[in-house]
Amino acid sequence: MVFLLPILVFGGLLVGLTIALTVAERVLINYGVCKLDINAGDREFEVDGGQTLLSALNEVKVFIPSACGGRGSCGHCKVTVLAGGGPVLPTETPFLTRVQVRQGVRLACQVKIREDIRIKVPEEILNVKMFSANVSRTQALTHDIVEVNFRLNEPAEIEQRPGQYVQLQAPSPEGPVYRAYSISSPSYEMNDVELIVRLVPGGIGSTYCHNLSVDDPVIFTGPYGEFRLNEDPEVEIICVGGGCGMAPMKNIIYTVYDRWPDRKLWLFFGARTTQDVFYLDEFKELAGKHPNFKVIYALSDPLGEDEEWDGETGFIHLSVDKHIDKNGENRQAFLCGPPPMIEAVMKVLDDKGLKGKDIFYDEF
Amino acid sequence: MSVTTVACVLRRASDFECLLMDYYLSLAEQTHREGVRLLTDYMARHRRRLQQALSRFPGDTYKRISVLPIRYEPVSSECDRFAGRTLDPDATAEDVLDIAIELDECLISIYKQVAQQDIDPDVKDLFDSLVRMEERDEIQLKKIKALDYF
Repeated sequence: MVFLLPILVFGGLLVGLTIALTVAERVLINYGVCKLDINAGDREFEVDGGQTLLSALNEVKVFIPSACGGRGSCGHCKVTVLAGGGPVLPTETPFLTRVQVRQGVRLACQVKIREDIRIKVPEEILNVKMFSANVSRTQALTHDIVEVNFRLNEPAEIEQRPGQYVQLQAPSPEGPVYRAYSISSPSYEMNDVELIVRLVPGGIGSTYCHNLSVDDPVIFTGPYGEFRLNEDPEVEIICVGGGCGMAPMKNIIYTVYDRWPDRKLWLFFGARTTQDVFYLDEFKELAGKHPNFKVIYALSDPLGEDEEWDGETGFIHLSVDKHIDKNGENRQAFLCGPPPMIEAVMKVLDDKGLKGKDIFYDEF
Repeated sequence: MSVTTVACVLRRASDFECLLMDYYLSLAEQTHREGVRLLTDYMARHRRRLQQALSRFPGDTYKRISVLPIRYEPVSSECDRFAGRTLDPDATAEDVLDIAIELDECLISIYKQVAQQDIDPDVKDLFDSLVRMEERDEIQLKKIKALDYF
């Protein structure tokens, strides 16, 4: 106990000093009002200096994606700072390539506004909105995957493309945090947003989603994401998902068959066991109506003694290899799953002649 | 706590990274589980964090900081135990991910030990950046584990 005392005193002093410095900076150093210029005068705002660029942007309703609540641990909130951002911090470098650093790309949560600042963001970011909604339905798809539907309140409509995502606000002990989820409802359903969420033990966002009940209010921002479905109906679509990587695929499938009933589309989905399989019957039924929709599910674990399975076995990249021929032309692929799965599928698609520009992915 | 140079600590971390890569590659060769092979093959190819962090430093800056003295207590029993770890070809993806997370924590503790000292700003930048990279890797490994695909 005697030995602990000096450590505790020293630790306490350090914490106290840190708090005092933070408070002193906020109270004593007044950066005044600074000009925030977005996309060369496209939008101009006056914001209080001393805050981070991310919170200033939130204040003026420009919603940059960020999953960690501004702690600098997700690396999502990238913007290009053209002037007034100060030097790149070591907390940013792990998330930036050398080319990005040269181009002025920064993490908005790490840039402090101390003077007038000029930034560049993708045009689409300026269209991102904050939505309030209520849970209209929840449905368990497997033992740890839930489908959650939100009915929009304000704004009452969302314009989204397949492959885009929203950032759902979830409460945490340190204040609200945002977690990204792909939109699984088709783009023609403008009054609703549906998400598919796997429970990650200890995960703030997934625990929140799994505990939602009908009528609960929710807040999210969106839509985000640059994927654009090729509008040429002659272009074949290849969707590959693994684990719970199904949400963007479901959106793509229903959006495609709403517009082009005869379009060729492959859905490959990999899971470990029959207990992890979902939507198979629904997609088989849809395939009955659209003969060019091919549905292939594969299980990677050996089957149990009493289990029945008429799908494929092995990892999903092997199924892709088996079914897709070596004609890379006129194809677009969308992948969603854990990074090693994405890598394995990319290699197969590369062998099949698909070009990098035609392959999009959503890594967990 | 002994005094050594930045280069010495980085060499130790680099040796540890090489050991890790060898470990993953050997597992990828020996396992009879396709999921473990995919996973370890991926992890071996994404293990060059030190090289990545150092590549951001101009050569002359690295030369300058590499000889600077820092205090360093060789860590830790878990890291040392790893060197003697035997390969288990029956290891599941979950086993492998548990080991990988544990080893990431070893590297984080090595880097934190230096980053928390009152040292040259460039050295601090380098080690702070390494801590972030390893912490990010650790989060990704935990996510892959939770997704239960392999």
